[in-house]
Amino acid sequence: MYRRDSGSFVGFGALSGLNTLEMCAGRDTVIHRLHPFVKMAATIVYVAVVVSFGRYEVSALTPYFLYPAILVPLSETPPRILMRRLLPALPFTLFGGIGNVLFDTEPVMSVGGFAVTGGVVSFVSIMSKTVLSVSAVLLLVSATGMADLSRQLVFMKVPELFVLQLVLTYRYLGVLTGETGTLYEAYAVRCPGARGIRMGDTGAFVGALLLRSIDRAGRVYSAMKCRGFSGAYPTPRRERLGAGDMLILAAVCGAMIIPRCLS
Amino acid sequence: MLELKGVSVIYPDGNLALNGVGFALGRGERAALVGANGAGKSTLLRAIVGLLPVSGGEISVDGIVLSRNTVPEIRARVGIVFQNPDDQLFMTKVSEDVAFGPRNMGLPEEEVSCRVDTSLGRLDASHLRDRISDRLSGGEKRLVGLASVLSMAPSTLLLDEPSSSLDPRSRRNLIRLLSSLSQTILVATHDLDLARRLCSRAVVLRDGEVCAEGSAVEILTDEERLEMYGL
Repeated sequence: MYRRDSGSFVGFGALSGLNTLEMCAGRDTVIHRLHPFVKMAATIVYVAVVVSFGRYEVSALTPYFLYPAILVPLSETPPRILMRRLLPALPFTLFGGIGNVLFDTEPVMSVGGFAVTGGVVSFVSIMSKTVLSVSAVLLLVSATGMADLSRQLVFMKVPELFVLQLVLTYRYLGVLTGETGTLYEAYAVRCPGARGIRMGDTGAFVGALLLRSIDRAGRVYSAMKCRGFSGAYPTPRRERLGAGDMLILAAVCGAMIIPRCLS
Repeated sequence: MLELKGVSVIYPDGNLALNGVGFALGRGERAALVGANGAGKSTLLRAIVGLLPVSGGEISVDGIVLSRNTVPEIRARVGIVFQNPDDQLFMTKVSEDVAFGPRNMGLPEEEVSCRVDTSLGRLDASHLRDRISDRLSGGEKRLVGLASVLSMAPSTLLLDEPSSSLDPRSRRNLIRLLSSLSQTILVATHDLDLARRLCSRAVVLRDGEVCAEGSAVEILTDEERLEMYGL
């Protein structure tokens, strides 16, 4: 369960690995140079359009695979990293989709003489929507970076408190997994032969982690206060949205919405 | 200038952590705050920036007396670097973290950017500008933590165990860098060698009280006295 790979549990590694995508945000590509609002709005429209398809409309989703297929090379996001970050999201929909396969057994089409049930079609549809939506969000992070995204959220009138929570949570996922790893190491070296954490020790382990987290939260808050933090997320001046940005946004949104309307 | 007169701090559990601590540091002066574990070094640093309420005495920085109303002004003038750099760095990217303080000061973005470049450059850490804070080494985090405070251009720096977890080379670099700074510096440390190299003065705390104060070389090389102070 535990791997000393960047000091994290395997299960949490994917979360801390978001930082790997964040590292891609420093690149200088045509996608990175776009205004953050354009990227964020395009992602929101894309996700909304993708999830708007009915559960049996699998073929209509096909053109929407072009979006990540185009963005990955243009933003120079390594596909392997994207896939690794995508995988943790899949089990949730996988189990939901399997339920459909079991309960929706009505044939809705035939492929090569074989009847395909509604459950199988909706399973493929759910998985496709998950892959597309999560990829779009991950690509947004890799091409924009959390700092620009959070600023954009503030400019879009999202409450600053929420944005601040988001930024700190994102930042501390990595720190928390590190703390968990350190605590586990301290446990494991005094518990030779134990596979994972023994049931009887789980309470103490989680309790210690909670106390450490509270302690750390207090220290971080002190550091923030010492640097002038007064509850507001500090944002620099708003970058102006140019006519070119609006044109690109309109074109991208049009390319997403028009096929949806025609399907 | 940093001035403390009879400063006392009592924790909510009734523990008298500091008792009548008093000393003054002139502009640009560097002093080491030494003492055994639990002597009150970190408590004193936290009290100076208003993180702990003072139950008696007076703290003033550049003539401004610390009170509830002056805390923001004091914090703009006094930069504190915590012992654990993970507590200091909370933004995802280094540049964002170093910009956090200046932005909170309401500075224009051009000035913020300039301060980020200057403070990182001053510490030979410009190459870390676009790195992810979480992925830095211990020494790099220490440098960025210091840069994040220097970017606010404080007149006084408080450093809590700055050399802990540093390798010998990083430690030497840190001493060199701190020696080049013009700020008034108060360093709480167990590293007596760093204290001797960096500071002209030493203040020794024992059980929350100043038990010795004077030349760093004189105090920190006298083994009998050090033993007496629990060091």
